[in-house]
Order: sequence, then C-alpha cells, then structure tokens
Amino acid sequence: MNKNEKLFDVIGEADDLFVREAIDGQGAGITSEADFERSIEQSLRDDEAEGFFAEVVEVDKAESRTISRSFRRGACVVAAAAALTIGLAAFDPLDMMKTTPEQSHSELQLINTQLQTNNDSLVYAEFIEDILPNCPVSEDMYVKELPVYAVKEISWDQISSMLDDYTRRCFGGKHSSIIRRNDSAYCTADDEKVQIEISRDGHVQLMINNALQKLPDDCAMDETLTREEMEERLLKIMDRCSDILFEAKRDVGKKNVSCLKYSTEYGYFNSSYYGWYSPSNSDDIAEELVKSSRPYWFLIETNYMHTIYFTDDSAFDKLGSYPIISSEEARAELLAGTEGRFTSEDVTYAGITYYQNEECYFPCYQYYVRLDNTSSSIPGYVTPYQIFHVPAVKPEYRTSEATYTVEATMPENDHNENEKMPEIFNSGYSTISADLAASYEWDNNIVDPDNISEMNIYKSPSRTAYKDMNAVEVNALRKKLHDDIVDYCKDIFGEEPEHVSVNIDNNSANAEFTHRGIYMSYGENGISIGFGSDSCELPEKFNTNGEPDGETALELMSYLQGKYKFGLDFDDPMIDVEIHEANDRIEFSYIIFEGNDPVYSKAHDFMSIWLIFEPLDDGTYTCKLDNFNRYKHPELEKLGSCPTRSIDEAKQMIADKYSSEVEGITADALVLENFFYGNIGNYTIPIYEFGYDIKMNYTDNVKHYKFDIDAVDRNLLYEKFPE
Amino acid sequence: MTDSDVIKLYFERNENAITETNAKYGIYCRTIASNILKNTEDTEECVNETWLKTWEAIPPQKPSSLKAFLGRITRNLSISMWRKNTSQKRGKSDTALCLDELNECIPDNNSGNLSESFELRDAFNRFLTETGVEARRIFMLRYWYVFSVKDIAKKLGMSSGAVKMSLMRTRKSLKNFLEKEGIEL
Repeated sequence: MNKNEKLFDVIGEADDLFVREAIDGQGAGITSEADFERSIEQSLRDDEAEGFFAEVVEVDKAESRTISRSFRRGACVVAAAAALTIGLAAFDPLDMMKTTPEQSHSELQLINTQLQTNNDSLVYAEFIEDILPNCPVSEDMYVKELPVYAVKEISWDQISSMLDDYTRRCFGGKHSSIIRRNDSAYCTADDEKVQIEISRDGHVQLMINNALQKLPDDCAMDETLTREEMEERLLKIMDRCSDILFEAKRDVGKKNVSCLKYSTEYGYFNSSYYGWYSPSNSDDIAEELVKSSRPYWFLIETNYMHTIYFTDDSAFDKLGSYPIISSEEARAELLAGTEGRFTSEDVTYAGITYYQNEECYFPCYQYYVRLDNTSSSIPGYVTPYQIFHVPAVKPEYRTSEATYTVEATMPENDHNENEKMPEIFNSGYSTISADLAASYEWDNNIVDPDNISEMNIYKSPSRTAYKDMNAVEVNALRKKLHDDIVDYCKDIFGEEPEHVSVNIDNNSANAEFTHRGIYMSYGENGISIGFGSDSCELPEKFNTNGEPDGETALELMSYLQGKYKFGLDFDDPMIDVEIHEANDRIEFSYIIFEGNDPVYSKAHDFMSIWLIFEPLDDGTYTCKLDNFNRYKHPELEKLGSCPTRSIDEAKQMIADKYSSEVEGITADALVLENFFYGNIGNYTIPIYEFGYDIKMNYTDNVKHYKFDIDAVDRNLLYEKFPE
Repeated sequence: MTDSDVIKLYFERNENAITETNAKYGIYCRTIASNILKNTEDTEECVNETWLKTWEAIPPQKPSSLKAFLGRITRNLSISMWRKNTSQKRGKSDTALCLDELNECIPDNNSGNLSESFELRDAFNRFLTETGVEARRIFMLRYWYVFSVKDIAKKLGMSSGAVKMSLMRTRKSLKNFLEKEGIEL
C-alpha cells in the first residue's frame, strides 16, 4: 500500500462529527480541542437522554451475531429495487444524499392561490410570437406535479449572516458595517466597489460602483439582438464579470444561459434589464421551472454593468410537490372564469410560471388572451393581449377560488388622485467653470417678468398612459399617434414616413418614425427630431476664445432649415436664444412664442443644436453638428390667467427657505436666470428660476445653485381653477 | 423513524432494521460507493455488504451517529473493492485523483513506516479540529466522500477554482502539521 493510500485510510478514520458536518452542512461548532471533547460528550449525553442505551444493553449479544439466509436475500432485493427506482446516473448526488422522504399527497396542506390584480397585465404585439416568454415547458408536455413554496420574511439576523456569506463568496474579505433600512439591510464590500443589499423578502442586489470597465463591443446589448445573440453576449458578460458573478460561475459553468426577457427604458441612461437563468439541462422540469421563474437580472446602463439582482432561496420554504391540472383544464377554467367573453382561439399558451402572493409561491399556467380581434392595415399596428394566470395546483388543494377580471371592461382609473404635488420649491446645484457660469445670465429673454402681473394658466397635457385607459382606448390612441405622425411627416417633408412604430408604456405614449435617416418621435412631449453624431459637417470655423465668430444662431438655423427642409417659420417672434459654450461644445437653443404669452416649455417650438469643436493647428476649430433637436409641443388648453408673485417676493421666499442650507444666500444675491412653464399635477404654470454662484475655494470653478419657484401662488391657483 | 429507533431494531435483531436503514440511508451510502467505484453493480454489492456488516456490528456497537457509521463502512468497503478492481489497471478516477492529490500531504523527509494508526488518526482529528469549518468541509467532501471538485463547488455555492484553492491550502497545512508533529507515514 502506498503512503498516500495509507493517508487516505487515515482520513477515513476522521471522527463522526466531521463526517456528518461535511455532508449535512451544519457546522460542528468545533474550533478547539476542548470543543471537540465537548461535542463528543454532548453526543453521548443526547443518546443517554433518550433512554435508549440503558434499554438495549440487556440484549443477548450471542443472539445478535446471527443473521438468517432469508434476511440476506431480502436485503439484496430491497437494495436492488431501490437502485432501480433511484437511477444513479442522473442525479445531483449531494442533494440526493439528503434523507428527507417525499411527502405523500395526503399530507399536503391546502394553499392560498389568491391572484392579485396586476397592473402590468396588458401587453401589445404585432405578432404574438414576438412576445411569448421563453418557458421550458411546452403545452403538450405532461407535468404531473410541481413544488409549492411558503413565502416567509427573512429575519434580520439571517440577513446579516447572508451579507457575510455573499461578501465572502463574491469578494472574499470583510464588508463594511451593516446599515438597516425599513425592510432591507446593506453593506459595502471590496473597498466600497460594490454595495450588497438584501431585503426581507429575499431580494438581493449587487450594485457595482465603477468596478467594471465599459463592456466591450462584443458584449454590448441592445434591443435589436435576437435571443440567441443575447444569450451569447450574456455568456461573455458573465465570463468578464466572473469575479462578481459567483452564481454564474456556480450555475452556468459550461452550460448555456437562457435569456428570458428584457426591457429597455429609453432615456438619458438607456437602461436595459436582461433576465437570464441557467437551464439545468436535466429532465427535472420542476427544477427548470423554478429556476426560470426566479431569474438573475442584469441592469446595464449604456453598456456599463450597473446592478445584478436576484431572489435568494431563503425567502421560500418548500411545502411539497403538488399535483397539477393539465393546460386543457386550466384553459377551461379561464374561459369559464371570464364568462364566455373569449373563445379558445383568443387564448395563447405562454408557459408555466411561478406566481407569488403574500403567503405562497406557486405554479400557474400563463395565457395571453387577445382583447381585440379586429385587424388593421396600418403597419406596426399591434394587438392588445391581457396576461392571465391560472393556478396550476389542483383545485382540491386550493383554499381560494381564482377570479379573472378583463382589463378592457374596467372603468377608467384616475391616477392623478393620489399623485403627490411637487413642492413649490425645487433646487439643485452643479459645479461649472467660471466662464460657463456667465452664460446663464438673463440676456436674451425678451420677457421682462417685472412688467408682468398676470400669466396664463394651462391644463397639463394629458398623461397618455395606458394605466389611465382601458385597452380599447389604448388602441384608439395608438391609431391617433400613428395618424398624427404620418400627417406631420407629410407636412414637413411632403412624404409619408419610411417607418413608424408606436410605443405605449406606463407613463407615456410615443410614436417614432424615421425618414431619410432622420429619427423623430412624437408623444407626450411633442415632436422631437434628432440627428446622430456626424450627420453633417459644417463648413464654418468657430473660435472658442470669445463669441462664436462664424454664424449667429439664426443664420445657423437658417442653414439647417435649408439643408433639412424644416418648416420652421423664422418670422415668429423669438423669446429666447441661448448660447452655452464650453471647451469642446457649443449649444444653441432658441424658443419662439405665440401671441403675448411666453409659453415655451410645453406649448411651442423649441430647437436646440449641439456642436462639437475640433481644434486645428492655427488655433481655430472645425465644427461638427453633434445633435439637433426640434420639439413641437402639443397645444395646451388655456384655463385663464392668474396673478404672478413679484420677483422680489420670490427671491425672498427662496432666501428664507435655503438660508440655513446654502452659505451666504440672500435675496439680493439671487439672479433670475429663467422663466418658463412647467407642470404641477393638472396645471401648467409659470415658474421662475434663480441662480446663485459661490466660488470654489481651490479652483476657479463655481458652485452654481439653481432654485425654481412657482411664479403664481398655489392657493390662488386652486381657488381660481379648482380641479 | 429516528436513528435511535433504527438502532433499537438492530438490538432487537429485527430484520426490519435493514429495510429501514436502506430507506433512510440507502441513497447516502450508494452515493459514497458510487463516488469511489463509478460502477452501479459494484456500488450495489458494496451497499449490500454494508447492510450485512452493520447487522453484524450492531450490537455490540452502538454508533453515536448511524449516518457516519454507515458511511464509514461503505467507504471502507468501497475502497477495498476499488483497490481490488484497480490492482491491474489504474485509471484516473476521482479516487485515483484523490490519492494523487494526497501525495502532497506526505512530509518530504519521510522514510519510515506508517506510524501506529491510532496515533495518526488522533493527529488527523486534531488537525481537523484546528482547521476552519469551510476548509474542513471541503477537505472531507473531497477525501472522505470522494466527491468531484465540481460537485463540491455546486454544493457549497463556490467556484471550482475556490474549492481547488481551499484543497491546496488544506493539503499544505496538513503536510506542515504532520511534519511539525513528527509523524511519519
């Protein structure tokens, strides 16, 4: 026998405590020899306490040595039968070593499968196949039973222990002190590069603070990718983030990932969410479903990985494996529950998913039900579908009956009721260079607020969100947006747009179109037209040492108007031209006004041009058009006029409010910088904006404060125009 | 049925003891045997042998942990069978890999015979006592249960690299420990 084999044998002599500890996962609590001795003694005491030892020592030992032949055969039969049942080849050995027997169905407790109303239960698609989720279970697949879990609240002690555990597994080392919020606790780790937050419902967030460099191009994600391309790139991202994605390392390995779904929030950060799970590639459908129902999410902002979140299993206790109904039975239940409003043809199977209410986490059949079966010739016209969940657990195990409410028949909701009105004050600050600070001065606005005693008040543009409408109204809005944008494009270009898409989400309704490479959108904020970078190159040279020495803003506008045939009428009176200049950028914006009312935030044309300067050897610069936007806001419904507060009164109110927060602020030090219209709830009202600069101690830069304040008294406003 | 109940059946010489043991610990023992032998028939033979050995051992023995007791018998039987099977042909099964890895633990200056087994066993348990819980679990899962690195990583929620690193450190510690204790293999 080799020495290593001898050592192998010695290892086999390890104490029972360590043998059990290794497989059961419960620490033996042994850190010293004294602990070891105590553990052994305790183990013996436990047995003695059972009274067992005293009872069995009386057994005749001679008898104990005999074993019958019939017994030998019996043992072999039992063992062989067990082996056949278990199937050694296809199991997870460590999990299988747990010795908890399966529950029989008679032991299963009844569960609450109450479905709560879900505001996100409407989806739209031109082709239903485009939006069906990626579910591992097809409709014709026979699934006999699925696990159900009880939802529990994780204790604070457990959260603390989980934070320790995640820190250790993800980053090694220790974390910062733990800070508790109302329903979660967080800490930072890895030299504050990452914040880990765990909520009491098991939600885990890893927020990465510049820990990762920008994702390379071959990892970039956008909405144009196919699911296969996304999965390929997700693998690359996970590989790149392997230091952080311990779960990925654990679960994925050489397996593929399956990208479930994603959503994108267009906006400054262009955030995208990508949900994925790693298929187990086993025949265990239950495991596959549970995994796919609790995906990992990446939040990627402009190709920077920002947050990873997922749900920890600790928030769920398995109640047992419950027998489930077939999809055919679930369909019948749904059709009966919706009182014959739909036919089976309207109902599309969308997989089995898990649903969570306050008590349970249970499987549900998911169906997309067509709400509108009229066809349309409009390209991109989409059909609304309502998502319905039908509990998959057999009815005899449910304590509650599911109810199915059709969204299209719901009355219009009024979400403004609960909307919190913004403060009459609003403030913020930025640090800017001294020369740029000067450009905020009130030079070009022809309105003199000192000479205005009353301003018009408008009704806010309706928030065209589907939450406020039923499905039929949403479809009507969709048609309107489409028609509007076609008309607008004809008006500008004399041609119909090349491509139109209409998008309605929670807070806005927008139609987008492209024409001759120009991207435009129309929606809550009116029309905007934008060009991408380098879409044109201007021939003029600008000197950034002083004022632009080439074109004035108007001449530049005229140039662009001629080049791109915009129907902007320069005979309109112009209320404001602003030129903001920085080292590498100059921004022009101008605003026209209508009649005598300078409403330029929500009701009129607004144009902005961003230019990028590139320095030449002779000290001058070439100038490229970086971005050009034109906004044409929808007409507002005028409510009437309301007295405005004086500039001095507004300044004093700001000084009084912020005197304790902002060093040296007084009414006299405030400078009026802007006067515009903004939305407060159902009203569009005039707002003053004041600026205040404090020079920084160690640089030439200034800290520039901005303070917004209502230009009208709210009490007067509500009195005159009650909601 | 609790472990005490099962052991009571053994003491009563009730043949249901085996049935109950198989029901409760059949998978556990088969997993250990399968890890070492990688062969279903051999695994079954070992597990059957385990039940017989257990029947013969209890009484007079009264294990404080039936699970560990059964596991130990299964491991010993499986290793014996593995040695017998592989005396002519030694492939790189997990068991063989484990043995290779354990070479690192043998002190360099060692030239003598295996120390008295109880002395070594005692030293080894002391070593485990001084080892951190996580490293100890990883070490035992690898060299007692002969699980693959991948399975251990999955079980403990770690990467395979982290498991390998932990094993390497523990092996090195064991080597230092044995040297320091003056134990010769």
